[in-house]
Amino acid sequence: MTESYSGSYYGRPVIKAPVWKHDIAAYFFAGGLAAGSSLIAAAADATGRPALRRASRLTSLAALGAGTYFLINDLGRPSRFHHMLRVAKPTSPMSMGSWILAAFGPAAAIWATRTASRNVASSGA
Amino acid sequence: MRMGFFTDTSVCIGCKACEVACKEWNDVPDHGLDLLGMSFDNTGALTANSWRHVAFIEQPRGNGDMRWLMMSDVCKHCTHAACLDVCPTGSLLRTEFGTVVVQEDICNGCGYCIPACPYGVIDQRRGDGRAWKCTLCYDRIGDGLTPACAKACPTESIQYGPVDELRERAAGRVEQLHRAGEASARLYGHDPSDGVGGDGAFFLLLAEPEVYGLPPDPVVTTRDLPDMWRRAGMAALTMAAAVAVAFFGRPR
Repeated sequence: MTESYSGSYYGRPVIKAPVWKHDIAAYFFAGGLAAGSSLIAAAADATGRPALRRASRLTSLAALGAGTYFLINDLGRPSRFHHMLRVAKPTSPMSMGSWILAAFGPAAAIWATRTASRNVASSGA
Repeated sequence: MRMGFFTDTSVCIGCKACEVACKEWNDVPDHGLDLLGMSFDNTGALTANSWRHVAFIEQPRGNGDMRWLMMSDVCKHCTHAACLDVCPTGSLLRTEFGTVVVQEDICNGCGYCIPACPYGVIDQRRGDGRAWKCTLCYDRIGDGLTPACAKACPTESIQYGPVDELRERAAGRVEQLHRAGEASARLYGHDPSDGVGGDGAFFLLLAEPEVYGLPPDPVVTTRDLPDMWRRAGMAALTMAAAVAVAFFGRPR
Protein backbone atom coordinates (compact mmCIF):
# COMPACT_ATOMS: atom_id res chain seq x y z
CA MET A 1 0.00 0.00 0.00
CA THR A 2 1.06 3.57 -0.56
CA GLU A 3 1.93 6.02 2.21
CA SER A 4 -1.53 7.59 2.01
CA TYR A 5 -3.26 4.44 3.25
CA SER A 6 -5.15 4.80 6.50
CA GLY A 7 -7.27 1.92 7.78
CA SER A 8 -10.75 3.34 7.76
CA TYR A 9 -13.03 6.37 7.61
CA TYR A 10 -12.83 7.73 11.19
CA GLY A 11 -12.95 4.14 12.49
CA ARG A 12 -16.51 3.66 11.23
CA PRO A 13 -17.64 0.19 10.11
CA VAL A 14 -18.14 -0.31 6.37
CA ILE A 15 -21.31 -2.38 6.75
CA LYS A 16 -24.39 -1.87 8.91
CA ALA A 17 -25.11 -4.04 11.94
CA PRO A 18 -28.28 -6.16 11.73
CA VAL A 19 -31.35 -4.50 13.29
CA TRP A 20 -32.84 -7.80 14.48
CA LYS A 21 -33.76 -7.96 18.16
CA HIS A 22 -33.84 -10.95 20.54
CA ASP A 23 -37.06 -12.11 18.80
CA ILE A 24 -35.08 -13.70 16.00
CA ALA A 25 -32.99 -15.84 18.36
CA ALA A 26 -36.19 -16.83 20.18
CA TYR A 27 -37.79 -17.71 16.84
CA PHE A 28 -34.87 -19.95 15.86
CA PHE A 29 -35.25 -21.84 19.12
CA ALA A 30 -39.05 -22.10 18.84
CA GLY A 31 -38.86 -23.09 15.16
CA GLY A 32 -36.32 -25.79 15.92
CA LEU A 33 -38.44 -27.06 18.80
CA ALA A 34 -41.51 -27.23 16.53
CA ALA A 35 -39.61 -29.09 13.79
CA GLY A 36 -38.09 -31.56 16.26
CA SER A 37 -41.43 -32.14 17.98
CA SER A 38 -43.13 -32.83 14.67
CA LEU A 39 -40.44 -35.33 13.74
CA ILE A 40 -40.88 -37.06 17.09
CA ALA A 41 -44.67 -37.03 16.59
CA ALA A 42 -44.29 -38.67 13.18
CA ALA A 43 -41.99 -41.34 14.64
CA ALA A 44 -44.35 -41.86 17.61
CA ASP A 45 -47.23 -42.26 15.16
CA ALA A 46 -45.28 -44.83 13.13
CA THR A 47 -44.25 -46.85 16.21
CA GLY A 48 -47.65 -46.73 17.97
CA ARG A 49 -46.98 -44.43 20.94
CA PRO A 50 -50.22 -42.36 21.29
CA ALA A 51 -49.24 -40.48 24.47
CA LEU A 52 -45.93 -39.31 23.00
CA ARG A 53 -47.66 -38.48 19.70
CA ARG A 54 -50.18 -36.26 21.50
CA ALA A 55 -47.58 -34.46 23.62
CA SER A 56 -45.20 -33.83 20.70
CA ARG A 57 -47.97 -32.62 18.35
CA LEU A 58 -49.24 -30.15 20.95
CA THR A 59 -45.68 -29.00 21.70
CA SER A 60 -45.06 -28.49 17.99
CA LEU A 61 -48.16 -26.34 17.54
CA ALA A 62 -47.42 -24.26 20.65
CA ALA A 63 -43.78 -23.71 19.63
CA LEU A 64 -44.85 -22.78 16.12
CA GLY A 65 -47.36 -20.26 17.46
CA ALA A 66 -44.71 -18.70 19.68
CA GLY A 67 -42.22 -18.63 16.79
CA THR A 68 -44.72 -16.89 14.52
CA TYR A 69 -45.35 -14.30 17.22
CA PHE A 70 -41.61 -13.63 17.58
CA LEU A 71 -41.16 -13.31 13.82
CA ILE A 72 -44.00 -10.82 13.42
CA ASN A 73 -43.00 -8.89 16.53
CA ASP A 74 -39.52 -8.29 15.09
CA LEU A 75 -40.83 -6.58 11.95
CA GLY A 76 -40.55 -2.80 11.62
CA ARG A 77 -44.16 -2.87 10.41
CA PRO A 78 -45.78 -5.92 12.07
CA SER A 79 -49.20 -5.18 10.50
CA ARG A 80 -47.62 -5.91 7.11
CA PHE A 81 -46.46 -9.43 8.01
CA HIS A 82 -48.57 -10.92 5.22
CA HIS A 83 -46.44 -9.07 2.63
CA MET A 84 -44.01 -11.97 3.15
CA LEU A 85 -46.37 -14.05 0.98
CA ARG A 86 -46.43 -11.69 -2.02
CA VAL A 87 -43.46 -13.44 -3.64
CA ALA A 88 -41.49 -16.70 -3.34
CA LYS A 89 -37.75 -16.19 -3.81
CA PRO A 90 -35.15 -18.97 -3.49
CA THR A 91 -32.50 -16.21 -3.18
CA SER A 92 -34.11 -15.14 0.11
CA PRO A 93 -33.92 -17.64 2.97
CA MET A 94 -36.47 -15.48 4.81
CA SER A 95 -38.92 -15.81 1.91
CA MET A 96 -38.48 -19.59 1.78
CA GLY A 97 -38.81 -19.78 5.57
CA SER A 98 -42.05 -17.78 5.44
CA TRP A 99 -43.52 -20.21 2.93
CA ILE A 100 -42.38 -23.24 4.92
CA LEU A 101 -43.99 -21.70 8.01
CA ALA A 102 -47.18 -20.97 6.02
CA ALA A 103 -47.38 -24.65 5.03
CA PHE A 104 -46.15 -26.12 8.34
CA GLY A 105 -48.44 -24.00 10.56
CA PRO A 106 -51.82 -25.24 9.29
CA ALA A 107 -50.51 -28.81 9.07
CA ALA A 108 -49.35 -28.69 12.69
CA ALA A 109 -52.71 -27.19 13.71
CA ILE A 110 -54.63 -29.98 11.95
CA TRP A 111 -52.49 -32.71 13.53
CA ALA A 112 -52.79 -31.17 16.98
CA THR A 113 -56.58 -30.73 16.82
CA ARG A 114 -57.08 -34.26 15.42
CA THR A 115 -55.01 -35.71 18.24
CA ALA A 116 -56.83 -33.63 20.83
CA SER A 117 -60.31 -34.41 19.48
CA ARG A 118 -59.49 -38.15 19.19
CA ASN A 119 -58.51 -38.10 22.84
CA VAL A 120 -61.72 -36.33 23.82
CA ALA A 121 -63.73 -38.83 21.78
CA SER A 122 -61.97 -41.83 23.30
CA SER A 123 -62.28 -40.53 26.87
CA GLY A 124 -65.98 -39.78 26.26
CA ALA A 125 -66.60 -43.31 25.00
CA MET B 1 -31.37 1.61 -20.69
CA ARG B 2 -29.28 1.29 -17.54
CA MET B 3 -28.82 4.71 -15.91
CA GLY B 4 -26.43 5.62 -13.14
CA PHE B 5 -24.05 8.06 -11.50
CA PHE B 6 -20.38 8.70 -12.11
CA THR B 7 -19.12 10.64 -9.09
CA ASP B 8 -15.77 12.26 -9.87
CA THR B 9 -14.33 13.07 -6.43
CA SER B 10 -11.40 14.99 -7.94
CA VAL B 11 -13.68 17.99 -8.53
CA CYS B 12 -15.86 17.69 -5.42
CA ILE B 13 -15.68 20.85 -3.29
CA GLY B 14 -17.63 19.46 -0.32
CA CYS B 15 -20.53 21.92 -0.58
CA LYS B 16 -23.14 19.26 0.38
CA ALA B 17 -25.63 20.68 -2.15
CA CYS B 18 -26.25 17.04 -3.15
CA GLU B 19 -27.22 16.10 0.41
CA VAL B 20 -29.60 19.04 0.68
CA ALA B 21 -31.16 18.61 -2.77
CA CYS B 22 -31.74 14.91 -2.08
CA LYS B 23 -33.44 15.63 1.23
CA GLU B 24 -35.60 18.36 -0.30
CA TRP B 25 -36.75 16.39 -3.31
CA ASN B 26 -37.27 13.04 -1.58
CA ASP B 27 -38.75 14.52 1.59
CA VAL B 28 -36.15 12.74 3.72
CA PRO B 29 -36.51 13.66 7.42
CA ASP B 30 -33.66 15.40 9.21
CA HIS B 31 -31.59 13.42 11.71
CA GLY B 32 -31.09 16.20 14.20
CA LEU B 33 -28.04 18.43 14.61
CA ASP B 34 -24.89 16.40 15.11
CA LEU B 35 -21.37 17.71 15.51
CA LEU B 36 -19.32 14.59 14.93
CA GLY B 37 -15.78 15.94 15.04
CA MET B 38 -15.09 14.28 11.68
CA SER B 39 -13.69 17.29 9.81
CA PHE B 40 -16.62 19.00 8.04
CA ASP B 41 -18.59 15.75 7.94
CA ASN B 42 -21.54 16.03 10.32
CA THR B 43 -23.63 13.48 8.43
CA GLY B 44 -21.41 10.52 9.32
CA ALA B 45 -22.61 7.84 6.95
CA LEU B 46 -25.27 6.85 4.46
CA THR B 47 -28.37 6.10 6.54
CA ALA B 48 -32.14 5.86 6.17
CA ASN B 49 -32.20 9.64 6.55
CA SER B 50 -29.12 10.49 4.45
CA TRP B 51 -29.12 9.14 0.91
CA ARG B 52 -26.10 11.21 -0.16
CA HIS B 53 -23.18 11.54 2.24
CA VAL B 54 -20.21 13.82 1.64
CA ALA B 55 -17.05 12.39 3.20
CA PHE B 56 -14.26 14.76 4.25
CA ILE B 57 -10.75 13.41 4.71
CA GLU B 58 -7.82 15.55 5.86
CA GLN B 59 -5.04 13.39 4.57
CA PRO B 60 -1.51 13.97 5.90
CA ARG B 61 1.21 14.09 3.28
CA GLY B 62 4.82 13.15 3.98
CA ASN B 63 6.14 16.69 4.35
CA GLY B 64 3.89 17.79 7.24
CA ASP B 65 1.40 19.16 4.74
CA MET B 66 -2.10 17.75 4.15
CA ARG B 67 -4.58 17.44 1.32
CA TRP B 68 -8.35 17.49 1.20
CA LEU B 69 -10.28 14.53 -0.09
CA MET B 70 -14.02 14.98 -0.50
CA MET B 71 -16.43 12.45 -1.87
CA SER B 72 -20.19 12.33 -2.24
CA ASP B 73 -21.18 8.74 -1.45
CA VAL B 74 -24.46 7.16 -2.53
CA CYS B 75 -26.18 3.78 -3.04
CA LYS B 76 -24.18 1.87 -5.66
CA HIS B 77 -27.20 0.31 -7.45
CA CYS B 78 -25.22 -2.95 -7.84
CA THR B 79 -25.59 -5.24 -10.87
CA HIS B 80 -25.89 -8.15 -8.41
CA ALA B 81 -27.71 -6.49 -5.51
CA ALA B 82 -27.81 -8.57 -2.33
CA CYS B 83 -30.50 -6.33 -0.76
CA LEU B 84 -32.76 -7.15 -3.69
CA ASP B 85 -31.91 -10.87 -3.56
CA VAL B 86 -32.82 -11.30 0.11
CA CYS B 87 -35.93 -9.07 0.25
CA PRO B 88 -38.76 -11.48 1.17
CA THR B 89 -41.63 -9.14 0.24
CA GLY B 90 -40.58 -8.04 -3.24
CA SER B 91 -40.49 -4.49 -1.88
CA LEU B 92 -37.03 -4.00 -3.37
CA LEU B 93 -37.20 -4.10 -7.13
CA ARG B 94 -35.01 -3.60 -10.20
CA THR B 95 -36.44 -0.78 -12.29
CA GLU B 96 -36.44 -0.39 -16.07
CA PHE B 97 -33.40 1.89 -15.56
CA GLY B 98 -31.41 -0.92 -13.93
CA THR B 99 -31.62 0.83 -10.56
CA VAL B 100 -32.64 -0.74 -7.23
CA VAL B 101 -35.59 0.85 -5.44
CA VAL B 102 -37.51 0.16 -2.19
CA GLN B 103 -41.30 0.35 -2.51
CA GLU B 104 -42.31 2.08 0.70
CA ASP B 105 -45.89 0.78 0.53
CA ILE B 106 -44.66 -2.83 0.46
CA CYS B 107 -41.68 -2.91 2.85
CA ASN B 108 -42.61 -4.50 6.19
CA GLY B 109 -39.33 -3.69 7.91
CA CYS B 110 -37.97 -7.23 8.20
CA GLY B 111 -34.46 -5.75 8.11
CA TYR B 112 -32.87 -8.51 6.02
CA CYS B 113 -31.51 -6.10 3.39
CA ILE B 114 -29.55 -4.10 5.98
CA PRO B 115 -26.77 -6.58 6.87
CA ALA B 116 -26.95 -7.95 3.30
CA CYS B 117 -25.63 -4.74 1.70
CA PRO B 118 -21.84 -5.07 1.23
CA TYR B 119 -21.54 -1.26 1.28
CA GLY B 120 -23.63 -0.60 4.41
CA VAL B 121 -26.02 1.69 2.52
CA ILE B 122 -29.61 0.59 3.14
CA ASP B 123 -30.86 1.28 6.66
CA GLN B 124 -33.95 1.09 8.85
CA ARG B 125 -35.59 4.37 9.81
CA ARG B 126 -36.27 4.53 13.54
CA GLY B 127 -39.88 5.25 14.45
CA ASP B 128 -40.92 4.26 10.94
CA GLY B 129 -39.61 0.70 10.82
CA ARG B 130 -39.08 0.49 7.07
CA ALA B 131 -35.85 0.37 5.06
CA TRP B 132 -34.85 3.42 3.03
CA LYS B 133 -32.14 4.37 0.57
CA CYS B 134 -31.37 6.31 -2.62
CA THR B 135 -33.90 5.68 -5.41
CA LEU B 136 -31.72 7.36 -8.04
CA CYS B 137 -34.73 9.72 -8.10
CA TYR B 138 -36.95 7.13 -9.78
CA ASP B 139 -39.77 9.69 -9.84
CA ARG B 140 -37.58 12.21 -11.71
CA ILE B 141 -35.69 10.06 -14.22
CA GLY B 142 -38.94 8.51 -15.45
CA ASP B 143 -39.90 12.00 -16.62
CA GLY B 144 -36.50 12.57 -18.25
CA LEU B 145 -35.25 14.75 -15.39
CA THR B 146 -31.81 14.54 -13.79
CA PRO B 147 -31.69 13.19 -10.19
CA ALA B 148 -31.78 15.99 -7.62
CA CYS B 149 -28.18 15.53 -6.38
CA ALA B 150 -26.64 15.59 -9.86
CA LYS B 151 -28.81 18.57 -10.82
CA ALA B 152 -27.66 20.52 -7.75
CA CYS B 153 -23.95 19.64 -8.01
CA PRO B 154 -22.16 22.89 -8.96
CA THR B 155 -18.94 21.25 -10.20
CA GLU B 156 -20.38 18.28 -12.12
CA SER B 157 -18.66 15.99 -9.65
CA ILE B 158 -21.92 14.01 -9.75
CA GLN B 159 -22.73 13.06 -13.32
CA TYR B 160 -25.90 11.25 -14.33
CA GLY B 161 -26.41 9.32 -17.55
CA PRO B 162 -26.41 5.91 -19.28
CA VAL B 163 -23.91 3.70 -17.42
CA ASP B 164 -22.05 2.70 -20.63
CA GLU B 165 -21.49 6.33 -21.54
CA LEU B 166 -20.42 7.20 -17.97
CA ARG B 167 -17.89 4.34 -17.95
CA GLU B 168 -16.30 5.68 -21.14
CA ARG B 169 -16.21 9.19 -19.75
CA ALA B 170 -14.69 7.95 -16.46
CA ALA B 171 -11.94 6.04 -18.28
CA GLY B 172 -11.05 9.22 -20.19
CA ARG B 173 -11.01 11.27 -16.98
CA VAL B 174 -8.63 8.85 -15.21
CA GLU B 175 -6.28 8.98 -18.19
CA GLN B 176 -6.41 12.77 -18.18
CA LEU B 177 -5.57 12.90 -14.45
CA HIS B 178 -2.71 10.41 -14.86
CA ARG B 179 -1.26 12.54 -17.67
CA ALA B 180 -1.57 15.58 -15.40
CA GLY B 181 0.57 13.78 -12.80
CA GLU B 182 -2.18 12.65 -10.36
CA ALA B 183 -1.02 9.05 -10.16
CA SER B 184 -3.39 8.18 -7.28
CA ALA B 185 -6.51 8.60 -9.45
CA ARG B 186 -8.42 5.36 -9.88
CA LEU B 187 -11.94 4.19 -10.66
CA TYR B 188 -14.06 2.33 -8.11
CA GLY B 189 -17.09 0.18 -8.90
CA HIS B 190 -16.76 0.56 -12.69
CA ASP B 191 -15.65 -3.02 -13.37
CA PRO B 192 -18.46 -5.44 -14.41
CA SER B 193 -16.26 -8.37 -13.36
CA ASP B 194 -15.99 -7.34 -9.68
CA GLY B 195 -17.78 -9.08 -6.78
CA VAL B 196 -21.07 -7.25 -7.33
CA GLY B 197 -20.98 -7.29 -11.14
CA GLY B 198 -20.12 -3.60 -11.25
CA ASP B 199 -21.98 -0.64 -9.78
CA GLY B 200 -24.59 1.53 -11.45
CA ALA B 201 -23.18 4.35 -9.35
CA PHE B 202 -19.38 4.34 -9.47
CA PHE B 203 -16.58 6.70 -8.50
CA LEU B 204 -13.26 8.24 -9.35
CA LEU B 205 -11.17 8.20 -6.15
CA LEU B 206 -7.82 9.78 -5.28
CA ALA B 207 -6.88 7.24 -2.57
CA GLU B 208 -7.59 3.66 -1.51
CA PRO B 209 -11.31 2.92 -1.11
CA GLU B 210 -10.88 2.26 2.64
CA VAL B 211 -9.87 5.90 3.16
CA TYR B 212 -13.38 6.91 2.06
CA GLY B 213 -15.04 4.15 4.10
CA LEU B 214 -15.64 1.97 1.03
CA PRO B 215 -14.97 -1.80 1.00
CA PRO B 216 -11.91 -2.57 -1.17
CA ASP B 217 -13.36 -5.78 -2.64
CA PRO B 218 -17.16 -5.89 -2.20
CA VAL B 219 -18.91 -9.18 -2.85
CA VAL B 220 -22.64 -9.80 -3.27
CA THR B 221 -23.46 -11.45 0.06
CA THR B 222 -25.79 -14.01 -1.54
CA ARG B 223 -22.82 -15.52 -3.40
CA ASP B 224 -22.60 -18.36 -0.87
CA LEU B 225 -26.34 -19.05 -0.82
CA PRO B 226 -26.27 -22.38 -2.74
CA ASP B 227 -23.70 -23.62 -0.21
CA MET B 228 -25.86 -22.42 2.69
CA TRP B 229 -28.94 -24.20 1.31
CA ARG B 230 -26.90 -27.39 0.96
CA ARG B 231 -25.75 -27.14 4.58
CA ALA B 232 -29.32 -26.43 5.81
CA GLY B 233 -30.49 -29.50 3.87
CA MET B 234 -27.78 -31.62 5.46
CA ALA B 235 -28.74 -30.34 8.93
CA ALA B 236 -32.39 -31.28 8.28
CA LEU B 237 -31.39 -34.76 7.11
CA THR B 238 -29.20 -35.21 10.18
CA MET B 239 -32.09 -34.24 12.43
CA ALA B 240 -34.43 -36.70 10.68
CA ALA B 241 -31.76 -39.42 10.90
CA ALA B 242 -31.32 -38.79 14.64
CA VAL B 243 -35.06 -39.27 15.21
CA ALA B 244 -35.07 -42.38 13.04
CA VAL B 245 -32.18 -43.90 14.98
CA ALA B 246 -33.82 -43.01 18.32
CA PHE B 247 -37.11 -44.71 17.44
CA PHE B 248 -36.17 -47.51 15.08
CA GLY B 249 -32.53 -48.16 15.95
CA ARG B 250 -33.17 -50.50 18.86
CA PRO B 251 -35.75 -53.06 19.91
CA ARG B 252 -38.62 -51.86 22.10
